Amino acid sequence: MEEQKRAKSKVFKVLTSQPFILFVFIILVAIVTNSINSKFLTWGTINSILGQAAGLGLVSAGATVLVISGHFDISTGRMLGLAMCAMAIMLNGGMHPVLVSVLGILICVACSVFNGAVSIAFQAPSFVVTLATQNIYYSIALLLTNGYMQTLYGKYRTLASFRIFGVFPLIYLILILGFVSIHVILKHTRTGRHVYAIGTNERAAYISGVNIKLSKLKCFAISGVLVGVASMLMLSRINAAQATTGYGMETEAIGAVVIGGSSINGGKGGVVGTFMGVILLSMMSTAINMLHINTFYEYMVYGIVILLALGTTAVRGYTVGKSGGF
Amino acid sequence: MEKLLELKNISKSYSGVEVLKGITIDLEEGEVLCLVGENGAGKSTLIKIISGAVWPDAGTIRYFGKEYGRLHPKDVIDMGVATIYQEIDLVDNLTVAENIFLGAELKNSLGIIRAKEQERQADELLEKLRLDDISGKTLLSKLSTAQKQCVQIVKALKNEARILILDEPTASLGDKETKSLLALVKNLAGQGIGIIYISHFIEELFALGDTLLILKDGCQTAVRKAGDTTPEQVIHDMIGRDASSFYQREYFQTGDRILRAEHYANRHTVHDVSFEMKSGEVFGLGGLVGAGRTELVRMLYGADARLNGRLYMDGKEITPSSPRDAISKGIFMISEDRKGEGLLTLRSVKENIMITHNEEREWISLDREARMAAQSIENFAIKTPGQDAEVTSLSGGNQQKTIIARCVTDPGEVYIFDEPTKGVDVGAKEEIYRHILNLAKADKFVILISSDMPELLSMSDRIGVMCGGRLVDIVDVDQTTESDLMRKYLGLS
Repeated sequence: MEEQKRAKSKVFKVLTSQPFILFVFIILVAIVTNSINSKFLTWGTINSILGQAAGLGLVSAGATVLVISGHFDISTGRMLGLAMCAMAIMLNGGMHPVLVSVLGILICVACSVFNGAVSIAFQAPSFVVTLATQNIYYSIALLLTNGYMQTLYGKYRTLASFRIFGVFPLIYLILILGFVSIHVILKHTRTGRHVYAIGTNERAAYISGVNIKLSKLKCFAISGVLVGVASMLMLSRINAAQATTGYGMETEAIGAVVIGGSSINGGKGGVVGTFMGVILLSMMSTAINMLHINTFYEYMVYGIVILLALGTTAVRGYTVGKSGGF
Repeated sequence: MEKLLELKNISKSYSGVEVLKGITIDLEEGEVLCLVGENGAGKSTLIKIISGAVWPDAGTIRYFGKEYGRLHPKDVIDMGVATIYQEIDLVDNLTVAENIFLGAELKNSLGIIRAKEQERQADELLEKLRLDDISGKTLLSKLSTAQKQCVQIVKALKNEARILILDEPTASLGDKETKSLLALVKNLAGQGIGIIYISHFIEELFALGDTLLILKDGCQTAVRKAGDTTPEQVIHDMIGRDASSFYQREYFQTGDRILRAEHYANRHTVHDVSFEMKSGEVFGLGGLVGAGRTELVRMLYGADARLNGRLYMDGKEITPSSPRDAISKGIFMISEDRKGEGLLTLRSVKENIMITHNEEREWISLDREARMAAQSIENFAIKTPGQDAEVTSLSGGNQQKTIIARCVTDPGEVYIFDEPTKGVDVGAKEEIYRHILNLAKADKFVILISSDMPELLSMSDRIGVMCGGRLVDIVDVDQTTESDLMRKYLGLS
């Protein structure tokens, strides 16, 4: 009896979870779009959606960690641009791609950890700190490139074009690995528990023996690594970079996190929802395109989807969250 | 006399758990009805139902002789039912008058607030309630906690409230402040306002109440006239077993290991405190609010900066530099501020218990974690729907047990309890006492801060008395009395 009840409530919990609702929604959108334009559910389209999703996905996975810990980084877009420009210049200078990739990741980790360190040192909200630093990163990118587009002429393509066993794109594997590792960090490691703890109640976490500053820096470092990998993937895909590349992705990423059901106040959420959010966002623009809807509607739809997500989160809060009693 | 409020057979359950069953209440004009019960007995839910915030599953409510359909909290307020919760819900940077009229400002035809008129009316209201020491012009932040409570009551009464609900209004007040608040409540009852009063302090209930409604596990076990009953009887009704205010503890042989704190001081609140204690001892810290007890133990734990101070165990220095360092040296602290510094509010019971243990290693085995959490929940008899339930869904006593469980999952040496039974019901109190004593029995060092005199006297082996940031005396429990201690707290002897 008891067992049955528990299993039942577990099923109920999954069915009412944000990721599951999003999953259903994604399927619905796909079916509806496909019934109007049958080219939607083809390998070509799906590949292009997932390919576009890769960069945003990795940045969003990192943003999830930050949001859960109660932070934001709105400089990730500029960071992405900076890293891509720097990597393109190094590649054109003849450096080895592997070395360039490592350096690209390091640049992003350094920028991200700098954001965190300033936020800790000045006891300032990371939102404001990164509002400032994003300008610095943009400026550095402009100075590096002199404002010119850096084209790679076919170099560094392997990452985007390689297919495992000739079928499965490497990009997907990296995207999946990115999400799986963040999921594992959040759910299975001490660091993850600390991320949730400081996002919920920083003072209580401190008294419980959590090293607050180190944990925060870890969050920023994790986000930095993911932005770094994202810049590798995007550079390989686009095969060119300029200072403005990536701009706007920071808000899109935070949007995906919120759509995924993570609490903007920290302490709650997960990366599975973010993944669904990313897929939904990436698929939206393609769907709008294929349905021959005026693309000017794209951002409206994007905005409405975020509002809807907030709405379902709120409704779930009323019906599920308050069931504990007093 | 007119019946202000009638509740008949009210029941409410949350996700299958019945939190209220068959509650029946009559409240007459000028009557003070006290709700008594352990935390989790259903008092808060009952109040929420009366104030319209929660809708009961069954039963009827009649306000002022009339039954209504589903009501919004605002409708209930407009009918004249004012509810005042424990937390003060006023704005510090506004004046008393501005606070009283907040949301219902008096405006002239241009929409500009008539500040003078508000102040005049506020003063009139305050005077009517004999709160002459508060002026409408005063900035709220200048008032004491008790005065703020009074302002809150005035604000509620501004709309001609005829029923006033007070939820533990004296929880954070001192003796004298409590008295003046009780006087105000009596005065209001005298004016014909019906009062529903909740408090953990039994003396208050007897000083104030006409009727006592005793709740236990969501049922009303008894309705008693205050004049015809005794505190022992009420406690008996509350917990279904006899309990004396003095807990009978077991005493053990103290060990021979020694913990020594030397010259602890910070800038303002603690001055050169040194003491020594033996293992297996419960070292109580007594004193008035502001004596520096919490500040002292926070420094011992490494949570706050200090000017001076070292901690030695058996001659070896173990002064912690941070809570994290303290925990690695086997020093644990349960903070007095459960919500602010204890609970990870959005997280599960399991994560709350395991957060300190998680320090050990990077990779967490979820199975092992679940097993350990289940073990703790069983050991501490934490009442929870499951280990994944949000910790805030538990009652105060169970939240506190969760935090204590957190500190004893790993072996340790020094345990600091800062007001461990604050806001905890009688039943959970005894359990917490038992856990504290188990630590002493296991030859650990236990430091206990308590403002509850009987608790401090019955739990401690020795009591360090703090006054004005100094440790003024250390007394053996069997050689002191309550009045003796109080004199020392006040710095009289």
